[in-house]
Amino acid sequence: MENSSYILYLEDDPLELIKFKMALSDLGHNIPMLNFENGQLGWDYLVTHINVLPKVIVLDLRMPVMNGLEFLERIKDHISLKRIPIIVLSSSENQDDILFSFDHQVAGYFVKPFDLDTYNEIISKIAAYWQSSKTPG
Amino acid sequence: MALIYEHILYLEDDPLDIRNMQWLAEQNPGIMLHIVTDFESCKAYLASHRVDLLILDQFIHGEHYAKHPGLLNVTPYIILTNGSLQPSFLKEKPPLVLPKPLTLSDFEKLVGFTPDQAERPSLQNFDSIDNQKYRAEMLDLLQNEFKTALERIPIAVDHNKLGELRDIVHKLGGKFAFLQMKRTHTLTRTLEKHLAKGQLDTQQVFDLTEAISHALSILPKQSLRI
Repeated sequence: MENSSYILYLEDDPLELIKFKMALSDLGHNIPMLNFENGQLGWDYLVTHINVLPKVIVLDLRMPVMNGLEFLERIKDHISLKRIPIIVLSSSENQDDILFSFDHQVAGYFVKPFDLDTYNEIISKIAAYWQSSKTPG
Repeated sequence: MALIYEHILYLEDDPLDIRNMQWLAEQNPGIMLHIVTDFESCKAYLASHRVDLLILDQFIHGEHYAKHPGLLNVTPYIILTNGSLQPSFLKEKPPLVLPKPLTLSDFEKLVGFTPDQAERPSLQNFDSIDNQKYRAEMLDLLQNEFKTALERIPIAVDHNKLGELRDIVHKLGGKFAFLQMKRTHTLTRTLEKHLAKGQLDTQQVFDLTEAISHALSILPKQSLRI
């Protein structure tokens, strides 16, 4: 397995996607990013590109077709994909969602904040994680 | 008492009334009271700070507030007066008029009072987008999402499709956050939780559609796509 350096962002809301791209762009990082609008499309991509996996997956929870929790369950059961760090970025503050996510070894869980400055800080932390984390070779 | 307003701006030129208002605010932890004593300072403050409610005396240094209509477009406002309101100046009736000196009882009604208007969106985040492509995409997206929501919400309510309604409401939350509509953003989260439990509060749905219409009316009308 070879790790690529891109972020895979699974998010169905185009506004969130624009915010994410803007925040990365404002940080000055040239981080390659790939987006799919639901867990199923993300899953299909990963299993067909097993040799170029993302360095980090940023995951929304509430998506159509296959939601984030279903995606988590499936990926953590896969021999090659289970080690990709996953950071949840969701509007859900539901304890059950948080517990489920950590039970499935997420690397972090962020609730989408109300104000844009706090959002940019979160994306900055995700970018820093992307930049400095070591992943299994 | 439900605290609707946290940041209150008080425009007043009388030191005794200012002291009274400071005392009233001190009795209500959670309220951030800011004082300005003339129209220019008031405009400058409104332009650069978050203000949830503007309270102002009818006359400041002898000048009537209605001569500064720009002040009243920014945020909900309430007029205080020693006597009667001067109708000859007024093009529109203020949302609420209260007598001076303001009592604790009136003050508590006032900070829980919702003027008969939806929460005002802010275009600050939108205006801060330097990248024209993102700005155009964002505007199209907000316009389309709000228009679609206005069409889909009544249908979902009529057919009692609470799951579909929940999806619509969920997606609106982020848009209201982007437009800094805190009360409406909170409303979407509350409504979403109720819908998840199979509960439908039609008043909340009504308030939400009012807020969508209001947000839509504030957004720039033309597409910015190049």
